[in-house]
Amino acid sequence: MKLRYFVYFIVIVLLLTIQATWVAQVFQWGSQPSLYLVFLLWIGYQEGKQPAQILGFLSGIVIDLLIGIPLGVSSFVLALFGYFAGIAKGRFFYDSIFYPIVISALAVLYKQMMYMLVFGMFQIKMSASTFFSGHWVLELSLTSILSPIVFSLASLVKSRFVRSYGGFTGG
Amino acid sequence: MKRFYLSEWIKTNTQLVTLILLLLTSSVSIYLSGSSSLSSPVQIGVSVVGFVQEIFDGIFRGINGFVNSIGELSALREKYQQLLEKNRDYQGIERILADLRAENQRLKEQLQFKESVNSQFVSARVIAKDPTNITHNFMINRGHLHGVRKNDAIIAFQGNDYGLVGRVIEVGFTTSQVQSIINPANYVASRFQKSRFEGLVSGRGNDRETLRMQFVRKQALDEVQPGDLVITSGLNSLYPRDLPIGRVVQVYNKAYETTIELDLKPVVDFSKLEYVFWIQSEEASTAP
Repeated sequence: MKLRYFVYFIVIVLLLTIQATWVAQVFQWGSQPSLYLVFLLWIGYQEGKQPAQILGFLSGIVIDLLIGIPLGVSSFVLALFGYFAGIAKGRFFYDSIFYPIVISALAVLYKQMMYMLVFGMFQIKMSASTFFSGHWVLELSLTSILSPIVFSLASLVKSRFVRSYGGFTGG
Repeated sequence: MKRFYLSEWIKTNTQLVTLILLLLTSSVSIYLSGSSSLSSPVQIGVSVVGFVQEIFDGIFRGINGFVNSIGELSALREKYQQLLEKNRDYQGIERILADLRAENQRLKEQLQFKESVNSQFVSARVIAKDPTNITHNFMINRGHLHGVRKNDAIIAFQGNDYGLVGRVIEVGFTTSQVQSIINPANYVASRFQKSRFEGLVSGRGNDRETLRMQFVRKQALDEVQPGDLVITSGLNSLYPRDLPIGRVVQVYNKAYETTIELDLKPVVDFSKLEYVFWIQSEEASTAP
């Protein structure tokens, strides 16, 4: 495993931890931005399917442990998410604002739908109102608004801490 | 006709094969998560994750306190001058203060004794919430070390009221995971405080929405009013009895059903949870 993938994993864990503690205390509206999801998107675009799906799988395990749902649910959702995110690599170029906003909004939609699907597949009791309430619209908006910042910070992390920096492929 | 070789296909589709393996691993893990074979690793995971959360929570509180203290510094200086002047007046009643301190000490000792006798309610702080916005479960800074056990009930005081929050679903060494009653997987045996009709309350997965009370006999229609308080009945032995859950906001009566359903407004505002209390219960620890 390359060192930068390990660094990415540490960043994901940090983002999840920050989100569960600091962000949860700042955004007390019952919803918060999914920063880890945006970072996974960025990894997919930068590194491709294989690293993104493995990192998605590992971060899913961390999430399952954190929120107390059956181990494997989030790793299933995020492994598949990583695979889809990796499809973007080398396919097209993007600007640093519009692309993150659009793709992050789609990512939140995907997350909601996939959790619902996996809960349904494995007959895990969850209510549809969890997924179709005003909360996820708020989450979608917050995530989209903050996504350009996360993309920029992720590029900064790569340029500063990862030796094999190949350049930010965005516009 | 070209022959199909699995090994070649695997070599050319490594990413897809990896994805399938990851999804299979996840599926098996979900399937097994109901069995006891995964309990131990999960507990270890909860302990590790909880420990990290606790550190971050501590850092946040430290930074928050530091920032606030800078803002309050100028105000404190002004107050300090006023207090210095007042202090001269208070010197005259120093003797009374000493007496009060002694009395306070005696009361504290009595209070500690009382707490040691009725040590059912123990305070805990919410240190982390669900970052995925899916479950609304949260983590508290009390765990096995403090005596928390699986299925212990969690309540919260807000304003002048208190109400049921949820139950402990996983216990780490110094932290525990709590499943709130707004989680649809959480069912609470309940009854009306006044009319005593029984039902089952479950969440709807949203901390701004109502709880749903089901399986209430139709005879209750005449006696139930909006605003009526619903409390725990203690019948399923998970939760102690008489804990407030919520108040009736709407009644649904379908002609073809033998029972009625009600929407309840939770007593506790789940979006503002900071401190909670857990209740030690002998029955809870043995419940499934």
